[in-house]
Amino acid sequence: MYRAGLMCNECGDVEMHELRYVGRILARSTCLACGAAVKHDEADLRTAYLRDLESRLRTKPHRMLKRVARHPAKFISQLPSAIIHKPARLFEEAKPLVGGLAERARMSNRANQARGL
Amino acid sequence: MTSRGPKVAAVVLAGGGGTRFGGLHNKVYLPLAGRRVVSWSLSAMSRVPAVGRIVLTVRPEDRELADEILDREVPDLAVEIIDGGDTRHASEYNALHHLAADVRSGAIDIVLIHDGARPLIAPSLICELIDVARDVGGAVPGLPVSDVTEVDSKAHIRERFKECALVRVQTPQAFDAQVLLSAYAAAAAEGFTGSDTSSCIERFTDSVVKHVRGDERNIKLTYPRDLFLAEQILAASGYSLK
Repeated sequence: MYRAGLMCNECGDVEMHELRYVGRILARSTCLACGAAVKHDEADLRTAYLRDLESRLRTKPHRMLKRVARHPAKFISQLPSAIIHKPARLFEEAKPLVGGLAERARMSNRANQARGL
Repeated sequence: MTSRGPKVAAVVLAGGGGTRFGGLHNKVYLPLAGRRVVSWSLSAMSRVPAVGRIVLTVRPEDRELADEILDREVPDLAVEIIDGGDTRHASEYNALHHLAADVRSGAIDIVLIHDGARPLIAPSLICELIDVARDVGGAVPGLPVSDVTEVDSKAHIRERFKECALVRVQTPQAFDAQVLLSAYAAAAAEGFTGSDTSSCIERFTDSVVKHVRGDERNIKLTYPRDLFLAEQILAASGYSLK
């Protein structure tokens, strides 16, 4: 999550905004003064995230090589921790998508129950 | 231009934005398609062969963050990080002061001033601006504005501007380096603070500043929706603007 001063359409002024990302994709921006939010379309966000994740995985070896060439000692010292924490970080970044899917499934179930299906 | 000829210096301004919220919340350090906004701006400048020096002006409190980002995202670029000022004009002045020796010696003939919050600048537009600035002294990109109307103090519409009369100005703006340096020296002597680079040139020199058609994609990140749009533009271009 990041914060930055951006112009708010509702407030008509530069206000602090909170920006939530899913991986490298901007998912939602919220004005902290008035609550106005701009969101990435949920279905498109999933597609964009998966496409981006694929690109990240494909380019990871190259990026790691560049990093190890620049700062070998730092890279090696941080590698064990990165390996341990990476799965949790990936899960954490994808959680809003999983949460969105679960929420839609719950709503669909409720709608089906209401219709007596 | 040969590699031994005068070079262009690109100044990327990243010193503002946090006026009310502090430097850590400057939008140029927001992630955009896997990199920070400012990294995209710097990368675009580096892809122009004529650009020989790149200067980044930052708030002093952002220096460590800027160093870290550059080291991680654009490690191959030789970017000179300097402190900006309280205003855009002051940041430009600091950058020109930093480049002054090379400008006076003729090693730098053109200075580009670019807003770090415009990450989608295309190298082809930068090249065109440099060429025009070398020809006439200054070049400013802009897009024609067709929906502008003059309104008087009683809110009565008076006149509709002709389409060709107004342009929405973008950056980078390119100027003859010596003219720009002398304009900013004159401005400093007079205590003048310009709203943008060309205003200083217009006030203190006779140099011609020519309009070059800008690029619709060269948006300034102002509203949250601009970030979404920039992300889409980058995705559509395969994260590599031509």
